[in-house]
Amino acid sequence: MELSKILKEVQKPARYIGTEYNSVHKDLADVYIRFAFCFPDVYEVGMSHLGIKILYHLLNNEPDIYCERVFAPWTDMEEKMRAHNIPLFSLETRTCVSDFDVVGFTLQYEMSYSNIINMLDLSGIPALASDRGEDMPFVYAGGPCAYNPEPLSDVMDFFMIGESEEQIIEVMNAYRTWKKSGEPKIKFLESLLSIRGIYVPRFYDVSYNEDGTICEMVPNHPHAPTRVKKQIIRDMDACFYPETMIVPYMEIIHDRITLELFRGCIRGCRFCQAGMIYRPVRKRSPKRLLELAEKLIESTGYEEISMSSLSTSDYPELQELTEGLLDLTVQKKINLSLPSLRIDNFSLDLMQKVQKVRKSGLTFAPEAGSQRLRDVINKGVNEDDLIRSVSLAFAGGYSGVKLYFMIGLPTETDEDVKQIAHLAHKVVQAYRDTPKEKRNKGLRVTVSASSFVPKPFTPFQWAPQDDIETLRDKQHLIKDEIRDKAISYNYHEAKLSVLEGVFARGDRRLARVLLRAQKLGVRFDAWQECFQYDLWMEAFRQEGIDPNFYNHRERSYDEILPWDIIDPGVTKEFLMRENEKAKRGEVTNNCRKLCSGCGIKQFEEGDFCD
Amino acid sequence: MIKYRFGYAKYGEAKYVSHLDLIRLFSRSFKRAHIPLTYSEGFNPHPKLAIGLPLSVGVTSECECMDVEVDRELKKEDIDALNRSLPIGIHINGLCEKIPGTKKLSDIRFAEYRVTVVCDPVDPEKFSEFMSRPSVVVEKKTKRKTEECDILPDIHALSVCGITDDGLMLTMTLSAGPSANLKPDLVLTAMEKYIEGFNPKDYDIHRAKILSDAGLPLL
Ligand code: SF4
Repeated sequence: MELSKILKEVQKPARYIGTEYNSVHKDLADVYIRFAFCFPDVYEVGMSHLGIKILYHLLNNEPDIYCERVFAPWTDMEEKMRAHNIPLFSLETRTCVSDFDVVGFTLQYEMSYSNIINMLDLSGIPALASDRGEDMPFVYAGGPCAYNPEPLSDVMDFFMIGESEEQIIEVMNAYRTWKKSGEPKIKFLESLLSIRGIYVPRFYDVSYNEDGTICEMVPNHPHAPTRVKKQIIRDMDACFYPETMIVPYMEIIHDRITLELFRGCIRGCRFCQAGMIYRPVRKRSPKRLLELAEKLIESTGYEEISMSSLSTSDYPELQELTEGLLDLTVQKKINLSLPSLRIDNFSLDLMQKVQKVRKSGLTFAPEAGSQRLRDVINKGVNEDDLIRSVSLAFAGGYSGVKLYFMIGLPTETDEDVKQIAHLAHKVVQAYRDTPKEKRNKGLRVTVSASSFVPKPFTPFQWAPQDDIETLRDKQHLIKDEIRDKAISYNYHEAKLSVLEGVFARGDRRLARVLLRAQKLGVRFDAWQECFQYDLWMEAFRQEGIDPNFYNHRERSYDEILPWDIIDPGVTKEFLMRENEKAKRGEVTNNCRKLCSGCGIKQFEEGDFCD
Repeated sequence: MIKYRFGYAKYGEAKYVSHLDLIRLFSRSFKRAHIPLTYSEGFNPHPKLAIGLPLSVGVTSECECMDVEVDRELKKEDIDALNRSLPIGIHINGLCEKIPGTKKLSDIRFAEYRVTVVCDPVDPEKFSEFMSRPSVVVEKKTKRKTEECDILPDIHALSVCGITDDGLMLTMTLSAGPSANLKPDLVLTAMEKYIEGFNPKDYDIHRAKILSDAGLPLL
């Protein structure tokens, strides 16, 4: 009654009901392991994420496991839940999260960490692993941000590093065995040490130097590996992919079927963490993808299907795949939604056929304004390519172009920053150079500048991040350089990027700040309207921790980094080499042209890189 | 192209599904059930599907109706397939093919609601007194402003139909449809204002009937 009463009073109550089509409902009497899959953001964001779709159905395919979903309640809901003493609950059975066996969080972006602490608090689960007794569930985390697990290592009982489709089943098997044994919790954690990709932070001791850097990080358990090797899926066609997906009641951010084409990326952009940690490239075959597409269309009734990967234009059989998908979508009367593609005759022709793309918006990501800086970050795009592409697009009737850039990149000068505006002007010029009878009216060029955040396991992991002031100056520099009404310009909140930078390369000591900040009231930091920078700074002050230590200093190559404990396959030597090349402005070939010896071939046996 | 009228119920958790979300939900469910909806022509085709009377979020119903255009004739099996394709809480409970001219969706005039109220005991007499008032003035919010208005002409019947452990049950017939539409929540607010000692702590609203201007059900 309480809950139904508050659901009448909150915005978007459909966020909190778990009876959507294709959601799984099991008889609890048949269930041995109860698994809470937690996404530390609001429903419509979490439900758009591919990982949850995969793992939800993967786990629920096991008859004795019941995986349910948990999302962060929006602030209005949280207020009401706290006022009525309603603990955080799962959507499917409305069970309190603390009653589950295993509670798993996915870490997609650093700015969701405060929501994790808050969700544990709402569940009545102590945030620190050391405070959780035998009656409490195991709390773990996975996802891309888990590659630097340290800021959350006092919170989590363990981390799953890498791709979890196979690993999670191994962990569940270990859990089943442990639960039957009736042994204390520590025994389960010990049993995890034999599974690849599992990091159990309590089995490591960290000591620090006087200057605050790490002196040593050593196992304190005989079976704990000195480095935790990430787990990967070797055969994408054989790997589990859901043949059904939950169809939400409310509109979510990506409200469509998603087909995952491949993992990894051949490009090697030096700022991109995904491009490094997901190596090597492994793809699904067009045959498998088309088979999945058909099943998913049948089982969901969705009116749209999309393709997902880090760089869809690099999918070798893109033509074969899109032709197949086009046939299928015409036959089933649904839309094919295209990701942003490298613009050439093939893709323009494809967009023409799909039609769904309105002729307004095409996106390009030159990332940096000057050729010098694009070489530094190894973004293999040059100005001629870009101008040729936009001209092609303008002649094809497109009149809107979005350009994505980053500011604060290593070695960046004011001149590089100004070049962002200049490049936008050249795009405008390309439009004016397009014959009137070919182009469409209403040119709009949008320049979007985000702030660079150095990430672990990239060649820039040692680089200092620009401070707020510098980033703001650069943001304004671009603004002042733009002299055309057809160009609109937006940029991201610098404070948010700087805080993201702290947690991206943070260590164990930050857990205290997180807990403090949650108590002070931070939530939903990724949401501009909720972000409270001052509260965060207050938390750092109260805990006596200097955030600048984590992001504004240049690290030396021999410093022990908090994430050194993880082995992503790409070697430190390779990252150093890339960083040195960056300083010299030298580019590195993409993996299809020439292997640059990143280390993944030695890491994973088999014939992966083509 | 054949036009059908579907009757359906909305209950349980599904009551939180909004009107717009429901339209999308139906068009996906028809797809899953392999019932080919007729689509409008044009740049952005949409299925020809019209819901009779929008239902507020949080309200359950046993008497909803919608008109749908379909590319082929439907059989009983289609309805079974459709019901299997709907989420828990939404259920097709009626179908008719020939829709009489007097029962267009635009002929909807009244709706009957059953409201279960959690409140302290109140003398049922007081509700009849409420109905014999000369006027019932409440603040009504429109998009732009709040205005005072008399809702009594839109309350066609109201009575206590049961007493529960922690309150009572009311039935009310209210104006509904394109020309005038009164929501039961507002009637409760008015009663709270005018009936002494009536202070609802919580309530559940259920729509029991939708009626045409001739007082007939739509299906
Ligand atoms: S081993 Fe060579 S080809 Fe393979 S991912 Fe690394 S650099 Fe690319």
